[in-house]
Amino acid sequence: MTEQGLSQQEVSSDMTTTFNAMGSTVTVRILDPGDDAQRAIEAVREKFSTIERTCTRFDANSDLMVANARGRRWAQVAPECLDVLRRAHRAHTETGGIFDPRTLESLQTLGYDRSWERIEESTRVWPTPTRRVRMWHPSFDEARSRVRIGSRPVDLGGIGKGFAVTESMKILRGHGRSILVEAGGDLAVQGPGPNSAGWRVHVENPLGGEQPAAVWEITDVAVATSSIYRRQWQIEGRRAHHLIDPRTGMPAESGLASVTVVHPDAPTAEVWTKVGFLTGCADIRSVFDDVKLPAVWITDDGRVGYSKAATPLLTWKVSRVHA
Amino acid sequence: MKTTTTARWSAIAVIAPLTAAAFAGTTLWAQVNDPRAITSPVAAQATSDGAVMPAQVDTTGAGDPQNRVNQSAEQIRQRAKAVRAKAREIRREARQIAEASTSTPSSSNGDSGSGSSSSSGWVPQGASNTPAPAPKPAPVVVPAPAPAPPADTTTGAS
Repeated sequence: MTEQGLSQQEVSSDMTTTFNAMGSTVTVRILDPGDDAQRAIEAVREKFSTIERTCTRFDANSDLMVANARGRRWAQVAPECLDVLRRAHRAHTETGGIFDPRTLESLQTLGYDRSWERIEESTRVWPTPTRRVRMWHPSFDEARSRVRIGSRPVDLGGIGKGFAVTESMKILRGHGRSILVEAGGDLAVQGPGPNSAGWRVHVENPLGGEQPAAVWEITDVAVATSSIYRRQWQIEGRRAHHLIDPRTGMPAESGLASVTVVHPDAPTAEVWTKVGFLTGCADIRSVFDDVKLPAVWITDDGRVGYSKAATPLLTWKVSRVHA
Repeated sequence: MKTTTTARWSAIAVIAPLTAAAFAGTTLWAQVNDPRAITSPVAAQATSDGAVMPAQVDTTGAGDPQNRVNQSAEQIRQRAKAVRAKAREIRREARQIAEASTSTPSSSNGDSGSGSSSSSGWVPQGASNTPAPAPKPAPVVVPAPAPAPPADTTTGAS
């Protein structure tokens, strides 16, 4: 354990560091680290802390929640928070509104207004279904680092972690032969893997079985997964989870258990996992084939599907998984 | 020529019941003597031991050739119906034999089993209206996939 409270292992030319942030365990791994690798890792930890502090919905005093409260009025936010909001707006526009961060009210009504570990303490009811609203049009003032979010509050949980991973990779670049940053399932890799040309990434079986659903062998890309099987809870005997369908304001019921996407940019990968999840079983393959994105998805009953672009990147796969 | 004409009609009379038997969904060898069957005036009659008995001649209305043909056709239809019923019974018995042979170990003591059903375990069944259950298909064995290569990291719930 380092002085900064980082858990660290250094085995020959492999430095692995773990710490907690954004409700997840963050892992940083550097192969053949340079002399300043340790300092770079501390900067990564600080970056995660800053993004979490300014973008969390679990603290009413965070920059995001203050901006939410000000609605159509200008609010001062940290540069990191402004960056995440801009990325979220760009994703909203590019996906035609399918990705929509204005899900905070639904999440709070469902009881996910505090960290996952404390959700059992919350008051939980089903939100009233809503009709599709118009597109989101926030305003940004780059010079003064200000934002006007609008009348409906936003949540950045769907993109913030990926943003933190990408910013961390920028910090770590050049500090080792190969680099991995992984935070709660969202990750990015650079350079050759420890045992092969690429990094071997298991796609977790969302039904709980030990074998993965697929194995990527990849490098110089990011991977993100959206899944409902770990973060779900019961309200009045019905299953609730955190992936809100912005068209209804209710937890999405698409027949999918998880969606994994590979993309050079981690926040973009994360956005497309949400898009895939909301698209549903029937059309998910055509959506990912149209945009030529590598993707793997698992349905509620364990069937595993792949896009065409995924095949060259998969080193192992099965057609079905079990609990 | 009278002889040629007679020979031609005889040939047709032999072919007709063969065709009827084929239409009944059975082969000629499967035909067995059924006391209910109406004997064709021109068809040969096969018995269960394979012996062929000479055709019995029906003298009813024998004077009119057309009437004779009509009667033959009707008798053939009746016989075909009886043959189909017998074929169903034979198929049922064959299924029972197949089921008994797969569930009972075969005898290896050289007993030919002639006249005895104890070595095969098959008990002859009388005619029954209850169809025998269809044999279950053999289970398909799907080989397990090779284990996944070890992971450097995992992507999952978030």
